[in-house]
Amino acid sequence: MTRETIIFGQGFCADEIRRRLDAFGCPVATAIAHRNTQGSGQKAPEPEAQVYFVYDRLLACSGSSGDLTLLASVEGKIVQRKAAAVILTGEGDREPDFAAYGLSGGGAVMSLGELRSLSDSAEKMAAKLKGVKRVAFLTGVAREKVPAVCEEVMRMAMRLQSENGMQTFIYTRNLKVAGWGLEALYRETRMAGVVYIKLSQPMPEITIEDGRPVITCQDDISHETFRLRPDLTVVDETLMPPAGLDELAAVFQIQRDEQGFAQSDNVHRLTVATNRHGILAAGPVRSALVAGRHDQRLDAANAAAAVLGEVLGKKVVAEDAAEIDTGQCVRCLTCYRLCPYRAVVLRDEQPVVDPLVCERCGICAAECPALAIRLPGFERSSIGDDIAQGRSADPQAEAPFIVAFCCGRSAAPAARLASMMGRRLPARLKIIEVPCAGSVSREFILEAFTRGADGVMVLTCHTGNCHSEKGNRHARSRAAEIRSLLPLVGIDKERLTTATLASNMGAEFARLVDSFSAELEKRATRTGSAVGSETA
Amino acid sequence: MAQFPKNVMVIGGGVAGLATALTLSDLGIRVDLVEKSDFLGGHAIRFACKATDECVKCGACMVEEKLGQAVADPSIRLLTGCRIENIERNGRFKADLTRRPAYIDADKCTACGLCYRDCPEGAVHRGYSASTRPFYAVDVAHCLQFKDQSCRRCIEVCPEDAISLSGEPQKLTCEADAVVVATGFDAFRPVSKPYGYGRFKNVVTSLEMEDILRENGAPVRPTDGEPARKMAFIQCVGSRDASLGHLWCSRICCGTSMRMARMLKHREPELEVTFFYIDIQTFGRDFDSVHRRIQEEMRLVRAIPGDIYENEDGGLKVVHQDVDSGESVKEDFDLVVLSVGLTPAEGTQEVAGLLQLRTADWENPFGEAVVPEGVFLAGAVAGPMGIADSVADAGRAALEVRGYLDGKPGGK
Repeated sequence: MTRETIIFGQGFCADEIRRRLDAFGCPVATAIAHRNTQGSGQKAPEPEAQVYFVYDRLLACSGSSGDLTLLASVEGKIVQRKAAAVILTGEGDREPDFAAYGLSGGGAVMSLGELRSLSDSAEKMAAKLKGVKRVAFLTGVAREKVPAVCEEVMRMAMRLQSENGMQTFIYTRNLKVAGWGLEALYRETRMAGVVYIKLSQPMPEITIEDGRPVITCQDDISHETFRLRPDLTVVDETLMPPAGLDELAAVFQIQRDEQGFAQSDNVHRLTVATNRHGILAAGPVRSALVAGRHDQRLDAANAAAAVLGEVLGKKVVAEDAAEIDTGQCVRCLTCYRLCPYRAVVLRDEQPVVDPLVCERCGICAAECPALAIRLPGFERSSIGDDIAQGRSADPQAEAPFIVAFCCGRSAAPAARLASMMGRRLPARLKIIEVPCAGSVSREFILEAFTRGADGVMVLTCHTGNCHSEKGNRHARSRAAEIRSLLPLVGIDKERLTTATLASNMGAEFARLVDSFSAELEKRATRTGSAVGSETA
Repeated sequence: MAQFPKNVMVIGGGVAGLATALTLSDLGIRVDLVEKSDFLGGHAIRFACKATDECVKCGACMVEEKLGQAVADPSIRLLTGCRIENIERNGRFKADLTRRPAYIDADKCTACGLCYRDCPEGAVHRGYSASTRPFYAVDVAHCLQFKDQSCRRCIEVCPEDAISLSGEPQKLTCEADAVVVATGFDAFRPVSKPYGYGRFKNVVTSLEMEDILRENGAPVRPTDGEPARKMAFIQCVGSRDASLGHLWCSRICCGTSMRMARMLKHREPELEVTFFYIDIQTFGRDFDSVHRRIQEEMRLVRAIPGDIYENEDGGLKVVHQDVDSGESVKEDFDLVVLSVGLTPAEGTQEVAGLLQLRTADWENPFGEAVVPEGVFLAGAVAGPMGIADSVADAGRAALEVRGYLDGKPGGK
């Protein structure tokens, strides 16, 4: 097995990761898509300094953390490359917001990026900005921005103001000072003479006069109408996922966020994790919020710590992974499709679970149409026995018997917290703790009714907070389906409910089960059936 | 390669300390996590979940998760209720600790809460996490038994015989190869601001609002226990304030308060919310769209109020500048939340003295922190930061500790 980490992407964060891993003697290779080196964009590799993995096209990545296998085509041949870990990083793309302001670049209008590249050389800047006396920056006016962009704007304005003798104006809605030292920087720029114009609605009016934009707006603070015809208008940028990420994300089968960055917007992935162990995302490639240098350094350190600790340092022990009964399996590949961790792999066209990757969410077992998958400890029969035991615990009680399937990461700790907080929970409440609500199958729900539940609750994490990405949604949609079918077998559909909770919502858990219990009693009285009576 | 396992002392059991300890454990290092209070989790363990119909990434559940993982981790020794008396340095670190006696026996306590309910002085405090054992703690500063031996109510009421209000402090020694200072922040106490805090019961800090929500799940007014119908949030209380010398943005308050307000609006759409602010800071990846929704859901006023007066019914009159007319207006609210900023923790100074450490000026965090070799900072001790940033900073700190222990200074 190799100890090598392969880094995809270049730039500040990539360099930082390499530096950190080098310091610990962890081997690193930098991946270079060969076709990229032929264009003008990427630097050609310098072979002595680093180890490179040059490929034409990446085809697949299998295996588990510490033992990944990458397949790529290189000059027409398929090659295999082993890696302990893969880190996706890179600079991300920046798109100037010209269109949002009805402007186009060139002449008296420039993007923040163009100004930034000019600023590398004082001479170039002086030549290009000759005769410019007044500069307007538009930042976060059309679209809300991250502090890293605002910081760049403030630094550029500061420089033009104090080194180039220009008068600068920063137009913004909400000045983003929630970064390190940015409030102090803001005050420094004001001392230096930078003028800030804070806007609410509507957009400032931007017209073109003699090829130059004229900006007219009302300042929030002074309520004065302010008209400016700057010699140069600088438009800020929106940070985007890098081009080429589509391909990488598809090959590595990682979940992305709504903006397309290389990490789902899920707190369980803090800081650099993805849904796949051993595949990490660091820097602006995972979120526009990590565009600043300081945050990129933190990401780089966290990526290195993950490689050193979770990937190389830990002995992974497989325990009680889901098992596919190959005799019963009809190879529909539902499990393969749904596994959020990519733990289901195909061996000789037969799906099997890689126990080193499986996180025991049970989504596969609950969704398998052939009922061919078993999550040890969470079989229908053992759950049923558990429920039956709960029911017989206090047979004298009048209260309805409630079975609550509780996700072990959210609802189950919330239930514990509720009792610890002294909340009175319904007398006959049976909590079935499951590793992820995704494991609560249709069969489990029906089993609960069969074993005498008056009411069944499926309590999951909030949408967007599932460690298994969509386990909560699978569970709720299964419950919705059963709910719609219950009347067909003469069961009131209100006897099945779903809700979302977080681990610290003790008070809310208590209220939820309480009102469900009250509702069950009310309905039982109305229909004349005795609460707690046999139903199936 | 250094000999493992090494031992590291992490000072501070908030989210940064917990996350540092867990990453150190991942890196094969043993940890003594020293916390002065009775509970782990710092400020953030108090935070309520801010989810609407979906998770809004406030991170509160991550604190809960880290706490649970730390409790379960055999490589981490959790030392709550500890005072650090002295730290000697002789190659390694040797710290003398005094640990308060366990007035409540964690093994016997069943968290029935009778002591908490019956204490006449409110001197029994309750934890916030289901992973906290024991779930209750006696606050000796307010306990009558410690004052004049006049009350044994909790001892009498405890059905498990789990409480004793005597016992000698325990002396402990902690030997460590490195020290991580994760002493966090203090929330700004807004007594000097003209908002009647401490006098008007319905003026609460954002942290107190978290407690109200954890207990009730609704924004109930301290005066009458009724849910508020018209709430105001005042941002930047103790932040971005030259008169206090607080020339920093506290970074977390816009996110915390706006997520809180959105959650409350989600639960009670009739609730009216007004935000008084300077600039709304970006929180979350989808902030551009969240910001648009916030503009529809609540009223945003770019002005920081000058005064608050109390009405006879406990309601509040907030004096602020009207955005359109520029004139001073008085407006009634029935609950006002002060979004209090973060300030350097007092406790940090004590620890800094023991370690010959100088922390950074928050105004200029890249300035002149002086951190001796073998000592590392993690989390908000270095400057204001929220849960996600603290976790990220903790990962960095843990890696640098490992680099130091390995004799690989390039790791820093």
